[in-house]
Amino acid sequence: MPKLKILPMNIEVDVEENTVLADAIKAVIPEFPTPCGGLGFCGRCRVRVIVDGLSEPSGNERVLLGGSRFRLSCQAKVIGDTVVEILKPHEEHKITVSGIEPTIEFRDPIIRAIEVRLNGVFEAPLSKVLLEEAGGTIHVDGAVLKLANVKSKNVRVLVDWSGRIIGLRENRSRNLGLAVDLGTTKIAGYLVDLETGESLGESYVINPQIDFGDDVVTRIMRALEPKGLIELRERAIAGIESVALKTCSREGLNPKDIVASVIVGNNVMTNILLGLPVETLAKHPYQPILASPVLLRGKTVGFNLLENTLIYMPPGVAGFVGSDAVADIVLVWKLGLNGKILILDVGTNTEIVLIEDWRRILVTSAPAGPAVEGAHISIGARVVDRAFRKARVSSRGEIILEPSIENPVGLTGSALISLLACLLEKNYIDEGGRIVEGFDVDSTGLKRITVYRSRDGETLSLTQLDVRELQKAKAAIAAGWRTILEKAGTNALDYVVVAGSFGSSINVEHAIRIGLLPDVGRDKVIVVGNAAGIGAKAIMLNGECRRVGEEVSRKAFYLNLAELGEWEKTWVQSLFLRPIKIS
Amino acid sequence: MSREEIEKLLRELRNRVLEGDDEGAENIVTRLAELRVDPKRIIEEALTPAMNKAGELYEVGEYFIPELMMAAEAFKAAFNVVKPLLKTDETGGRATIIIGTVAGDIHELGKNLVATMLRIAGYNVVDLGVNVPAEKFVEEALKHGAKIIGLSALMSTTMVEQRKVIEILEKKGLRDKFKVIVGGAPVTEDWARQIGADAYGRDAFEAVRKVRMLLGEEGSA
Repeated sequence: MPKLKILPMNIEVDVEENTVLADAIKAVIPEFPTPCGGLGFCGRCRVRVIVDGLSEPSGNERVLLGGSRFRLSCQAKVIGDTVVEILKPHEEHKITVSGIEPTIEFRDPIIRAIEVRLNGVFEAPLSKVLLEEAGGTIHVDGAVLKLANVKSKNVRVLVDWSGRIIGLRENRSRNLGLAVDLGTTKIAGYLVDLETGESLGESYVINPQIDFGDDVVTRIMRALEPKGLIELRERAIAGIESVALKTCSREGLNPKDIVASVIVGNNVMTNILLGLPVETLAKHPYQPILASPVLLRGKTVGFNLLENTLIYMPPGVAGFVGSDAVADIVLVWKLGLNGKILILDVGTNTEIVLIEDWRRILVTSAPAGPAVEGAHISIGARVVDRAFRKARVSSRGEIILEPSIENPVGLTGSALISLLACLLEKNYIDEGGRIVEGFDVDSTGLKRITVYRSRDGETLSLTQLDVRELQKAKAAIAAGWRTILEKAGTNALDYVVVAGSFGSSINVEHAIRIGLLPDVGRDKVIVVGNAAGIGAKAIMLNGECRRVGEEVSRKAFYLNLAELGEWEKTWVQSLFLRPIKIS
Repeated sequence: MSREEIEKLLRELRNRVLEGDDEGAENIVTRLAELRVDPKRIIEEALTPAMNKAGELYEVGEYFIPELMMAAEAFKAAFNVVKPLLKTDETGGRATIIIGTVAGDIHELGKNLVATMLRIAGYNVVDLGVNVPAEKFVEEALKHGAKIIGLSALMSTTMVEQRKVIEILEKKGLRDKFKVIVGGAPVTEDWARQIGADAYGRDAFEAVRKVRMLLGEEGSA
């Protein structure tokens, strides 16, 4: 058993081989911080390596730490004798825990607030004074036409990035910005201070549209019904306003102070939010009405709480691929990745992007279906409460489900993916996905493998048909990226970026083992978390990111998988559970 | 050649088809034809049971799409050898079924499997291919005197086309003339009921069972 020595406490412990370093440290130092939950996003569990007995660095460590002597203890596994030093956390402001956040310079933000001193008497028309002080042009808008109401001596003039004055604020009020990822399942909000660029907090709510169905397509079907679009739009608005409220109240802030918001989402979500019909997405050639950037006043969109907020919706690409994918790409650009990059935003509808040296960008989306999120699997769990989130084979050869919980309801999508890899490793299933002989067979001939047994005899079993559903979902994603790589004539990748909240909890080795992710080596895979939301935040705070977003949208070439006859053949080939080598 | 040996060859043929060995199946069936074994017997005792077994294995997940496709290929290879030997009254006679993937949808895998299984079950299948406009289904059904129209949709966004076909039938006063069966990954029993289809087939095998039911042949082999 390898020995682990932790400095400066000078604690020495024996740890089982392949233990995650953070787990080993937490076992003796419970207060050791892992704010992002050990997903490799926040960098707070950084340690300095004195004696290196650790596994190879992951892609996340490569991006977050460069080539230094530091490691992320949530990513490194203890293989041999190791000595590490825990670093004193330097008090940073709020850290983002839902994804990797690059340094975003606060430069040319979406809105600037410029302080103008008025001494009660102005020597030129007030509008002119404001214009000169703020250096902008007056935008004809209700808020600005209320110039006569300016009573206080000092005001702040809100100027958007193009120089238009879009509002006046009392001097003491705060100016907040909210970046929103309007997802089909979750709506995530990121609150920033628009005077300093500082992050103020983040939260999410479940998209209230979920009552109408799990995926984009069921939403489209709903929108086709009488009043369906109105209901869906109202729920999108309610969802965004509740995430605004939730994020603000958590930090003791007033949502009325949100002066600007950047909202991203797939094309179904963004078009619904704007009240645009989505039926054109329901039939060949599956295009939305709108994928261009829009800048609107909150009231025009239909917001109440955010009626005075300036809303910027970055452009999407085409088909279902919307501004969320553009925001993903902006984030990847901001992380400074170069070369050939494959981005997979894994979910019910998986967005796939191939970037070749930032010269060519190909995008598509693959209909994985809800099985990847645990739905329609007899032991699948869509929620993380009382669900197993991980599966692994222990050194004694047992399949272990984690975390240890009472009365588990099932396994999350990412745990199911890991479970398939474990069953393969144990030769309980073959690469075709067939459960081998020797397992329980019911009277209809259906085989099942019991993967969990509680003390009082409750069991969780994966059936042969469950394996088949998972294979189909996995094949849809794999066929998506195989097709896009083939179309591009690319067979080498420098990075595979896994985005999306579902993707955050995926075990990379296991996903490679079953062929869900291309077999490129662990150090080339970066799990970035909610790239769309953080990308939206970058677009809000940084003008260059905003321009990159608009450029990406123009440059990206959209491939419609459903139009490619060979896609189905690739899908059948991808049903097999085996690694797909990409150099 | 002894009776036992012929029976052994038939069993072997059944296994070759089930295992998806198209060359092997073709060789054995050619041998059986040379031995002047009744082609009807080859179909009834080897080819059809092999596909029925493949269907049973598929329903419990033992067989998956690749195995099924291979078995269907092997069936076709063997059937093509036998087909010219069948007397005319043995080839036709059963109901005609119009099948296709609806407009806006070019998925063919599922539809092809259903078409193959229906042919194996002895039906006269007219496959219109993919991206078939709703009107075309109705025109072709009339032209071929079909009893059944099978509509495949692999995307929830194209499912609405299935409804469209039924609406056209209603508008033209032809609804009673044809039975409509729908299928495809996003399609459900509920959806079939909602749009007024006569049946829903979860997979190729259920589709064949439902077709038999619709034609009042339930219980027949």
